[in-house]
Amino acid sequence: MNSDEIRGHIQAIVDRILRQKGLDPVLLTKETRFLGGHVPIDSLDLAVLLTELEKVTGVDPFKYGFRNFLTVDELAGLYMDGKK
Amino acid sequence: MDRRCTILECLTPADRAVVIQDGRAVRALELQDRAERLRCLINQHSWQRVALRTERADTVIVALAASQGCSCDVLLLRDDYSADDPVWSAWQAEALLDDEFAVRRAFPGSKAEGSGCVLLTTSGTTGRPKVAAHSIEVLASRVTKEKLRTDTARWLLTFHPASYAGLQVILTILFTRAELIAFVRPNVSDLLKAAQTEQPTHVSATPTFWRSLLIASSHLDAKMEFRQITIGGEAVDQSTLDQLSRTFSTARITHIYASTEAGALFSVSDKRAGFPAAWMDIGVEGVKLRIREGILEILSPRAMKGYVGELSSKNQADDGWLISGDLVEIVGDRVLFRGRIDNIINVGGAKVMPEEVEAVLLQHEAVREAMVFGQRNPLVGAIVCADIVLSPGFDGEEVRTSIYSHASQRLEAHKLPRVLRFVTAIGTNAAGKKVRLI
Repeated sequence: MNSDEIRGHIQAIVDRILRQKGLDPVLLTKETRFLGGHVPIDSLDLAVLLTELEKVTGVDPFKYGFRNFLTVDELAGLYMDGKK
Repeated sequence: MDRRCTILECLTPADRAVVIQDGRAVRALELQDRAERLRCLINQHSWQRVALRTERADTVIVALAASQGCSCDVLLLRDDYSADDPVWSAWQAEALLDDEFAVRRAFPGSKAEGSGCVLLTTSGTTGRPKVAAHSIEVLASRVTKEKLRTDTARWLLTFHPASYAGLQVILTILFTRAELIAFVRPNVSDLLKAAQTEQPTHVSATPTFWRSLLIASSHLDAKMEFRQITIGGEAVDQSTLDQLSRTFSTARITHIYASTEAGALFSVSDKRAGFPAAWMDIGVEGVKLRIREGILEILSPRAMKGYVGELSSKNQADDGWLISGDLVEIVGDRVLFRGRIDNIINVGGAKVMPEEVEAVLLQHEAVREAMVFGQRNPLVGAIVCADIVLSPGFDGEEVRTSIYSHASQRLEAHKLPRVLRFVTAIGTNAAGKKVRLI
């Protein structure tokens, strides 16, 4: 799974989270910040995103502890690293 | 009810059908004969403690009748344990019998000193079950306080016959001369079918079972007429009580608070969740109640004598009160159950009781059953997830936003189930309780 595919999954999962909240989808770019930006999600929504990403990628980049990320691209990178 | 009546004396008249076991009427005479045979076997071997592995209500009745008045303990087992399982050295049974009273295993080194107790396994979901010792007289004491009824009650057994709740139903039918409909390893579908075809008048079951029955009853042809609906095994929420009350408007609806360790404590019949807060001060049915650190503690005349093979008990306070593990809260004139302390989900350091979240979800018209659980998460420790069975006619994707919105208006952010999964059924264990995902 390449970076584009992982970003595609991130977009799809965030869309689902927003739809469940009754909100319109938001187009994510590589630089989009998850919290404190224009995406209306909280830390628990972000937690769901991580759980769902682990399910679709089969990768758990946090297996050995928490790793920080701010943007979509940084998060996608963790799942790429995790595959190595 | 005459308190001096023994189980054997309850097995009269001889031709009375006591149990309809898997469709076959088992009459009092047959149960008496089998009890005599078991008693002879126990005497012949001078057993002090014997284990009986059974799924059958008729066998449990026989075991109760045979053990009453003799010094041998009868350990009723719901599960199989291999010969080298450490449970055997902890429980010190001398033999393991099957339904035909054939000796399946013998443990000649056992050193139990029997005292004529019924030994029951607890329904814990993890690790080795504990074994609680009860005397038959105490087990039946709440039942025998009721007046002898010679009516035509037909009870449907939804609980395992070797569980505390199952035994309460069995003792009730014995002392009230009612009839019991029982099946070996029934699943929910079997029981729902029996609830229609066998026309039981009295049913005791978990809230999870009752919600399953409500789901099914909306598309059943046969009308079910219950005189008594008893709810136990799990705390019941107001939505479930209201739905049962609407669907079975003529039935008496009672929820019972009991546990294998504390015994049958009290029943509540006003169709309101929880129990009157006044009972905290004045007690109820001989039971004293107190709340310590949010957990209900109990002093009960119907408590077990103790655990078998356990050196210490985390369930008992220093002064002998039993720590129920049930989180409670006083709201107005009511004490409400908020969940089991061992079910708590820790979301970023904040505690979430699955039962509280389930009660909110069940208020939504589209939700017929819900099971809330925590899913491990690297960011916040755990997130709250819910498996939901929808009411007929609702589509998951169409109501997802509505259910989420309903919950978000009533729950704090950390308690809000972020993952909603729509499923066709919620798993239950042998005790009829929801199998919680941990």
